[in-house]
Amino acid sequence: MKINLNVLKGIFNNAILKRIILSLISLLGLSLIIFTLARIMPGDPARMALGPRAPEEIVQKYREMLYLDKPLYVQYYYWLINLFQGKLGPSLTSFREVSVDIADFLPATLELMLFVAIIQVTGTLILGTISGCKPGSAIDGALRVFAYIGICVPPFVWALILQFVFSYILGWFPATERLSSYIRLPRITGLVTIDALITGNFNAFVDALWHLALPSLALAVGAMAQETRILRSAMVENINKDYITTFLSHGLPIYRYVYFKYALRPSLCSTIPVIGLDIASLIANAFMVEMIFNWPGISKFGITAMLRKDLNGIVGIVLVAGIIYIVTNVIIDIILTILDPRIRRGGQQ
Amino acid sequence: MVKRSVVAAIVAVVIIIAIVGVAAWYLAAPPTPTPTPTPTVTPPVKSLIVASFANLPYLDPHVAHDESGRAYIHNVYDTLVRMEYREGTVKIIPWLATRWEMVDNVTWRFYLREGVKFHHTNRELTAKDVEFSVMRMVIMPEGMGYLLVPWIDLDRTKAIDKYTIEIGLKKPCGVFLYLASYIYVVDSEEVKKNIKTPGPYGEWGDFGKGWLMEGHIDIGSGPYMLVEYVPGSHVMLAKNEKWWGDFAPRAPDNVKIVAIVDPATTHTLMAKRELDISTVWLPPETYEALDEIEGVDVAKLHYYGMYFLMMNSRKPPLDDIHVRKALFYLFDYRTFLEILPQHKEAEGIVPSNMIGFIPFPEPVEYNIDKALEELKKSKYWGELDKYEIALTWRAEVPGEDRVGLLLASAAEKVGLKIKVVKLPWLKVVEAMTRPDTPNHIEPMWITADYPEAISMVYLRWHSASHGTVNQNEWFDLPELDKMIEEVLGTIDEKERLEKSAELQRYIFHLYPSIFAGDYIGFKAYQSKYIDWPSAKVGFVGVFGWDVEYWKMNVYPEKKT
Repeated sequence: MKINLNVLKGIFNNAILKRIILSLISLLGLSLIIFTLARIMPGDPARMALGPRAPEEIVQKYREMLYLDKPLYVQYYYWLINLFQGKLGPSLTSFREVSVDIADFLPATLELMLFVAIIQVTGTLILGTISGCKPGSAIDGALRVFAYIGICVPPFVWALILQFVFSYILGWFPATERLSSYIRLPRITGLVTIDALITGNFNAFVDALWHLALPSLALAVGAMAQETRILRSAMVENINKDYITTFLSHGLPIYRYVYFKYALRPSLCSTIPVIGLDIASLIANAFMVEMIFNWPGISKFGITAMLRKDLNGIVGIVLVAGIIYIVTNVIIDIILTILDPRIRRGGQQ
Repeated sequence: MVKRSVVAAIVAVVIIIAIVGVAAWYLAAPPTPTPTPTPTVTPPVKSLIVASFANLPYLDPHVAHDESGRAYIHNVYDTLVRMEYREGTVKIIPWLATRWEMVDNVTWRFYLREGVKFHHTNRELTAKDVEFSVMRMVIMPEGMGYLLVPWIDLDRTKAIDKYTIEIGLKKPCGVFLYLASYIYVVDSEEVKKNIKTPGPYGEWGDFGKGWLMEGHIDIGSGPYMLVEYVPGSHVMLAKNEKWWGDFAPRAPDNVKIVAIVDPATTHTLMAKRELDISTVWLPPETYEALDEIEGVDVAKLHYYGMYFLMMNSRKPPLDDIHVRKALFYLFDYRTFLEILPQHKEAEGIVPSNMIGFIPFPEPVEYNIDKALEELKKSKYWGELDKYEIALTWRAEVPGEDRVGLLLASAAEKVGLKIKVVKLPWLKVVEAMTRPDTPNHIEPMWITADYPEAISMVYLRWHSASHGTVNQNEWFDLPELDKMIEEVLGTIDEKERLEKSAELQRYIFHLYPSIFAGDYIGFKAYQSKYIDWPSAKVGFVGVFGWDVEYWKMNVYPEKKT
């Protein structure tokens, strides 16, 4: 596929810059909302962190350290000052800087998201295309049943089923964690597969993939089912259009050109945004699967932070989720711009 | 000329076959370690995998206060003395201190063991480290230091010489040796090097807590040492071969503490022999399922714990002692044991396994007639329908609502209205910080920190615990505080236990709570290849101290 340099210029001139500025404003607004919500939730975070038996004077010291004895706008002011210094404040869950916690937990979830994305995109493309190309056939019917089951069954149920069948009964895959106990890998990026490749430890790489298989599949199945249906519907709609009929009547190869090039490409325009947002939502929604597989991700940590009313932790994690959503939306927009020439032409003056 | 499509198809088929072939090979034979640029460890022979409920156990011994934190520090850090259950009672045994003496009513002297080394620095542990550790616990009482704060006089606590430490008290304390078993000794020099300022503790900054919680190393001298900490996943400990104490002949070389809370995952791992000891926080039906796995048994652990339904004595109609006494008779104690089987019948106001426990001075039983009789004596008789008693249950504890409904259904028979309210834990904690809480009755499990009855009494009914989850009664009785402090301050054990008995009778007649049952912790473990002394004897002791890795024997050759 040839990409026009002017196209790239068009993309990266004003549109992206505008998006970045608007995104920063959105993040600021998000931080204010979540900052306020976290603080009006019931519970004393200092007491939660220090336990029921800590003396009141120590609890009070912590309240002062977190500025909880100050008005809300003063607390937000101090939080912003810290933010501009690159700090998110101390976590009351781990008693470390929130940024340290995020650096520890985020890579595990990002790695999971990456592999879920690979499975989702590949599966959706293959199954949605097959189903769309042969509507009403037996294979379409079977895929439709799969889609309904996939949509109805929540990811954590898939996780339990996969763990039970493939780990417990068949013993093909490990039940928990990211690596086997006897493998030690230096932490470079925090993504175990990447770190294994960087250090040339192929053994660890395969072991990491082996551990990623079940949690990735559990998270991918439901979303993939939904996206398959969307792609299938779009394919069917586009295949029935006049221009496709014209191509077929000219005798172009049906699959290589007509379906996969001229029908699939516009069909993806409605599917890509859904795929992107499903993947981005994993940052928050993966916690049950992370708990079942003892996956040390940020989603699981986020739930712990919320249950313990770890104010700084909650705000930090929500901001990370917001950034991921924003980045995902930008990526979706870029892909759509590449896929759909109408967007490019509309963007050029 | 072969068509491009055919070539592409052949290439695709070859690639697919290659991937499937490799995957099948790995599935059939899981990868074994091969020499790589990064050092790998050959699989340990004797290893133990223990579940913890906490994603992030507190790694600082002076911060840990929950069960998972206590279990970690109990194995990694040495204390001045230890409590041990022997011959039907609890004895204080030498640990870092080989002997001790009471110099006077307010001064204790401990003589330390020589040659004890810290794990990572190999520096010898001295009295200076003990002095620093005591100071750290008192100035930073975020963990068990709260036990020491009312008693320790830091100005009179000092190292006399390299192996002698003198601890000064503000007032006589009859239970001090129990409290000394919580003095976890840390490497003072390492802490001082890693203090971050500013912090909440003035010149001491954060007291090195931030650094210690990052989990790079531990600063203890105990039987096991920290070798790996992956937040949210696991903590890996290795046997400290330099430890001064005795290991069981087949004590584990490595211990992995993993954060597993999900019952289904626990079941899968235990069936696959990838988890050796479960947590204590699983639903009862999960323990039944685990017990059915071949080679897995469920240990019953008798902590100093009890389930109370705490009644707020300042909220009408519970401000009337007759109403509280009526509720005593309205609780079906037998059915409670069926609802929450991890209990046994309560026999006193403190758990029956505590030293100095006395049975209830009068029979406590489910008796509607007696309840009605008491209600008729109350000032609210005839107006009970105007008062609705709110009884909470925690959203995070499934099944607890049935306890409330049990009481509510019985109360209805005598005209008392009880409303069972579901609240998240955060709201419960918030509500209990003030006496005008909307909730009349708060059910709660409370565990005491040392084996004498007075430890539970202090925790539950001294005014120091007002506003905490340890009590909801809000008694405004200065004489009660005085009695509790008098017992604590009595040095002679016999006299102390007599006063404690008197105090328990006094408290009983205040009818402060419904004493539902003595708590028994359940933990599933791999009895086929693990010899766990606490499981065999039915452990009696402090919550979190039941898993002492150095006393366990592991037989991996029996693991099938």
